[in-house]
Amino acid sequence: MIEELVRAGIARFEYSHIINHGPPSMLGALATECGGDQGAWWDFHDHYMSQWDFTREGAIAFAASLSLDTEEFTQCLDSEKHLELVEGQHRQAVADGFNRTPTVRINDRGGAIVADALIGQVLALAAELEGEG
Amino acid sequence: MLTRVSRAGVVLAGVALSAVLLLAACSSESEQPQAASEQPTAAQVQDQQQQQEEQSATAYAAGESESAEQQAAAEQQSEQTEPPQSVEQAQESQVEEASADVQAEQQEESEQAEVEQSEAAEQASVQDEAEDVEEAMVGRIIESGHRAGLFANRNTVGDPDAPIVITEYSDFL
Repeated sequence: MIEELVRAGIARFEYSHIINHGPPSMLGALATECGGDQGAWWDFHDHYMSQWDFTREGAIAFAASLSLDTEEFTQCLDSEKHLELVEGQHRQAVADGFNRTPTVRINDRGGAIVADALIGQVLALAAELEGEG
Repeated sequence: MLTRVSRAGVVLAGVALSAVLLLAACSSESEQPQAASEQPTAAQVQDQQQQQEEQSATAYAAGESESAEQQAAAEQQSEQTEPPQSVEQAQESQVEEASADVQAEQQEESEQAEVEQSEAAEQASVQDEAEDVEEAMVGRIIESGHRAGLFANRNTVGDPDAPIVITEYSDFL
């Protein structure tokens, strides 16, 4: 349903890292960002949403399965190239009061976790913005 | 007796006087031709005048040449005495040349700096374009999966100008 809102151009969807489960969370976040360097951010997102292999070897193997440059990917992952980005997003989320996962925000408002409720909130906000326009 | 002696003395005196007169006459006669010969004729006088004129002319010419030589020597001497001024002029000219060289070098350096600056700006613009291309490569249309056809840029999917932003905070776990 969110995809329908995005496809309709009503909303765009963003993902922000929160590191609430230590090293596996950090490795998943860093691996996703390194995949993003080669245009595979959402592939890693969906990969980690579907299975929980939060290991270095598993991330490299998945990168290889996507035909990414594994040498570049490994270097990115081992050097923690995007550590500052991930930690920055985490700090910002905590500062905004979002410390539980998952949490959804619609513009500057807190969002519902239940999908139907979330969709309703998005449509209501869209109507509101359209009326203002 | 005394009379005879006085008479003889008078005679002798007369003789001596006459001899003296004769000698004098002889000497005057012998010298007179020489004097006559020494007296210049009109032609000789003219020649002498001409010679004198020539000599004077020669002397004048010599004087001129001498004066020219003296003038040249004086000039040379003045040139020799002028070196301090010529050295100053040379130093000034050297300073001017040095300043001109410095100005030329500065101008060349400024031109080179401008060229380098323009090259740097061009390189920066090229780098920016490369970064834009890289970002454009990162931002792409998803080709497969349930998001196929959507524009994605790293952690964002959908129209960048969409009025509503749905943000999910998560850690995959």
